[in-house]
Amino acid sequence: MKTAIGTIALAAAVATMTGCWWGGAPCDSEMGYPRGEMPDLDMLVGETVETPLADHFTRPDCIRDSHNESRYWEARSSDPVAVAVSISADGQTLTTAAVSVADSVRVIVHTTLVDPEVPELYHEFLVRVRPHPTGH
Amino acid sequence: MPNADVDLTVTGVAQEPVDGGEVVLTLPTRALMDYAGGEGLPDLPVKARWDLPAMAKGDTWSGSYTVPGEAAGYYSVMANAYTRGPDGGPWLFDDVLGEAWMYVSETDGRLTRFFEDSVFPEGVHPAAGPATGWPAGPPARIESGSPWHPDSVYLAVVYRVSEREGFKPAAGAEIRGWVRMGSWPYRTIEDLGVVAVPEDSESPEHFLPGTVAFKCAKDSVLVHGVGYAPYTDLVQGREDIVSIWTDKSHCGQLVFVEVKAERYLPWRLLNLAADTLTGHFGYTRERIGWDLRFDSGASYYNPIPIFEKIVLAWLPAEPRFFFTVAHEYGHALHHKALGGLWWPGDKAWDYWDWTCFSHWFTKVTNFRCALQEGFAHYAGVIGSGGYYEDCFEHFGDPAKPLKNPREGSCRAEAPQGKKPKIEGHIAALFLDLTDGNNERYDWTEYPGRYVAEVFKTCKTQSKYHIPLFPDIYIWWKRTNVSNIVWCLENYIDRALHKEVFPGIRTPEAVKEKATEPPDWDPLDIRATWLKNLK
Repeated sequence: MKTAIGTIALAAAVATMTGCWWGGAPCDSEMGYPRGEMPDLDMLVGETVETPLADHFTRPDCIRDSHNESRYWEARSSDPVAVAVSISADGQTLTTAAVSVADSVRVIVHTTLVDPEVPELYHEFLVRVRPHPTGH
Repeated sequence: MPNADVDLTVTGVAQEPVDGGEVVLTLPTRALMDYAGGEGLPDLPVKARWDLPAMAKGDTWSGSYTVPGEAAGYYSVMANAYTRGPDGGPWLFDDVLGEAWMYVSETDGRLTRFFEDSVFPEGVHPAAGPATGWPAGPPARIESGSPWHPDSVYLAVVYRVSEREGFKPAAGAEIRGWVRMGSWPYRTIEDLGVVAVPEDSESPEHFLPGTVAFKCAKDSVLVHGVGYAPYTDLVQGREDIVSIWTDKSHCGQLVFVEVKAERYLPWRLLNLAADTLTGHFGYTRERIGWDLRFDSGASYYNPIPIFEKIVLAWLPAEPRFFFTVAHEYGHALHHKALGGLWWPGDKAWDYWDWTCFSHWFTKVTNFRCALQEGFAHYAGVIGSGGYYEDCFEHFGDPAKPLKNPREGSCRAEAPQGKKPKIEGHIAALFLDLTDGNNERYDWTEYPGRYVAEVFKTCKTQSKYHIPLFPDIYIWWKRTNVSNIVWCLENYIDRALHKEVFPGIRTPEAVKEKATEPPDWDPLDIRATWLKNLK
């Protein structure tokens, strides 16, 4: 009997520690919705910036899992000659590379799992690329 | 500034090459204010339209529109892009929707991406439309000869999730009304009682869906209404989902009242799912509490006594959100009415196995997690009226077509021998047991009640051998899908068990308290579960 009570107590403690998360919704129905804003970038030619996708989309626990390979994500630059973007193979990181000078390049990031009729289904931010200071 | 025109620029970037298309701009708040009566709820008239040229991937386009000056208040603007590709598609994002809210104050203005209560100064009710006068704003214009009575004010109580779905009646919500006068604290002169927003099918003739009526205010008094989601037998209610004030200028008029979707829809969908699942399974549980979260976390069901409730992560996508709501209610029903949950680790005592706490349809987890989550997915499909049904109908069969190409994982083949540990295959089994789509090797169409009875009462007997002592026999409640299939069959095929369910001790006996339906046939059951699990 003591063992049973101890087991129940342990289960309750574990559930509490995990934020009482039990019977969580599947990644399939909840992951990949944009949240918050992705900030604009001010970069120098040659720089790269890595952005964790988990910081900007719902259910980062799903993004961290191997379930979300890069094929579930897309990133696009309005001027690929000036700003190149790519998603890492594990689907966790967006890499933005400043290639040549540009005033305002739009970058769009989204998951391919969401329905197209859902409003606000992608993140969009601007990248400004400036030349390196003389001497570099 | 009030009544000052506002220049808006809409900018788009082609994500794929397009032959052309169009962009349209609508003003939803203004549409409600301009509504002039007629059949059905108002639509969203297009205020500006542009033709898109042929564009290469990455090309940008922009168009400008001058929004006519509005009184101080808060107004929504929507832009919708429709494009066509070189071969007619299909395109991942051929339709794109953007929304913004325009706040006009007495001194300046600002644009916000979402409706934000924080833009309103203290004392101003956070509502869409003009902030001058009373928060209901001006009434919608009604054509002469309309059926509206001059001694009544009519409230069309609606919500909106997306432009495509437009406005929908907030059915089931209730409005309590008072005649009041003065300023805060108002003096209540008369309690007008409570009216419920009718279901579509119950709307009186000549009324728009979602319309309720109150006696209207005369002279200097005001009619104040407060909307709430009532407690039902199945679901906890919610206070203050909307507040409206009307004065004598609203008499005989229709006033649109937009309930914020996130304050109403979780309650509504929980009630619909709970009602459907209660009817389907024939088991009822006590009223469930619920809460919303807006962070990055998952929806979940918390089964711990005194904390018990469903926590829902808000998603602005009603059909998919409905599935999540029904999935979580499935857990809640399982817990309290269908025999109880179990720890979803690989072993009953393995509290360090958290495999199940982040999961997806095709994930290979363990037998215990797969049954618990698979059953909840099945409840999600049934309770939501069929969302993901196509996904689970031919789950894991790459040869079968898929209606939604975004659900490609639903046709991904399972690793050899792993299906009983994959929740999607468990959901597919439950669906095949009860649905009327009797494809090859699925000839079962049993009542949900029968499946629920088996799921609730199934027990298997295990034998434990201890040297020098007599064998010990123990009955265990079901925690994996092998228990379920043998209980359904009322039989154990020991060789088949070892082949399909390696790692699960072969039971000595099974028992359950279900009443078999008249067409119960163990051969049909065998075919159905082999189709989904082998």
